[in-house]
Amino acid sequence: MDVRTPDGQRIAYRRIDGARPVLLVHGFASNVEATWGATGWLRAFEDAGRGVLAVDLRGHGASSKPTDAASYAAETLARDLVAVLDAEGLVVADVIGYSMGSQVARELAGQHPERVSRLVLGGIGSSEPFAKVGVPAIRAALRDGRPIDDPFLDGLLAGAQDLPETERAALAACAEGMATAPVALVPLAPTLVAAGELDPIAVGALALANQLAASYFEIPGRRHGNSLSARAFKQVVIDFLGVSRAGMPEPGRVEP
Amino acid sequence: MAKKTFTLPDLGEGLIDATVLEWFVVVGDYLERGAPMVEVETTKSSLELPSPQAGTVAELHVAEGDTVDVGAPLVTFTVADDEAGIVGTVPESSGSVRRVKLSLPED
Repeated sequence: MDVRTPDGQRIAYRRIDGARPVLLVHGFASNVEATWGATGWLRAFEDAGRGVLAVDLRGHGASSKPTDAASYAAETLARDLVAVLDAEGLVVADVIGYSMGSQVARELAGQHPERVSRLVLGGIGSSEPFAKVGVPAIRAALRDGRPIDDPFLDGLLAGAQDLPETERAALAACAEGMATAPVALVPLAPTLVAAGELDPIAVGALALANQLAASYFEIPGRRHGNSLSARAFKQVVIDFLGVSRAGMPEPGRVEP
Repeated sequence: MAKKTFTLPDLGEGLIDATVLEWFVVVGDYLERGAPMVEVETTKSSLELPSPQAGTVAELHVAEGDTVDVGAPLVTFTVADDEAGIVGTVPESSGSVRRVKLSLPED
């Protein structure tokens, strides 16, 4: 499936039919299959009877890959998610992000609170990792495409070095756009923050949870790269989303 | 009843082994085909492998935290006689698709 955004980009997404679709937002240099497919999330939601809308962010997967940083403001990426919800006729959805996808999901919940019923922010903490490393260092690493010595930067770029040059250029623009547009909104939706116990990219996740008055789950013994496949993480999220929001109508559909 | 052993499939991208992070099953569990079975980690990513077979788990060949080579035994099932082969192998994953399904070759 795909949808065209107001600025003319194509956003690809995968839909799995089921009740109350969950909107899934992958991280930097990843895509739907790597973040949600291989790790077992799509299967877990299917088993739970939940529908899924899993989006390839712009610059990633099968979506358009502009190479200017201005195309990657957090609010623009969030608007891409709105375009998907609109295309599917979904008024509101539970939204789950991982890593950079959590920043986008948070932006969506902040800018468009009426579209998000529950929010899960995985693999982020209290600081913005792109800004922490610095955009020039990320740009240099992605331009060269060489293996990276720094484990933090290597974890952040997560396999991007294997991609062709044009895709790395899009990712560099994405990192710059996201780093220079920090997300500062506090979501209204009930929120869960989840991060690996040993995840340096998500350092300060508990502080973030406190700041957002969110629930918090620490994934025992996990790092940034291996938190996603943990069954404990999935179970906590499915339980969190399974509780209906007191006093709120169940998410419904409208005609697009 | 007969035994059927499955090996670690080719995970693509030139990866030669993986580390078992967590088994979701213990010996004696009955699993439907496609149910979550084990979580493994490669140098590239971590993956959840579904059960390749409906049957009862007879043996886990790799302990959590240990590394297993592609093609080495991962799990043995007890299955109905008419489903048994000698050793189950799994199709090689195609291209860059990362989702791995363990399944028997069509014979």
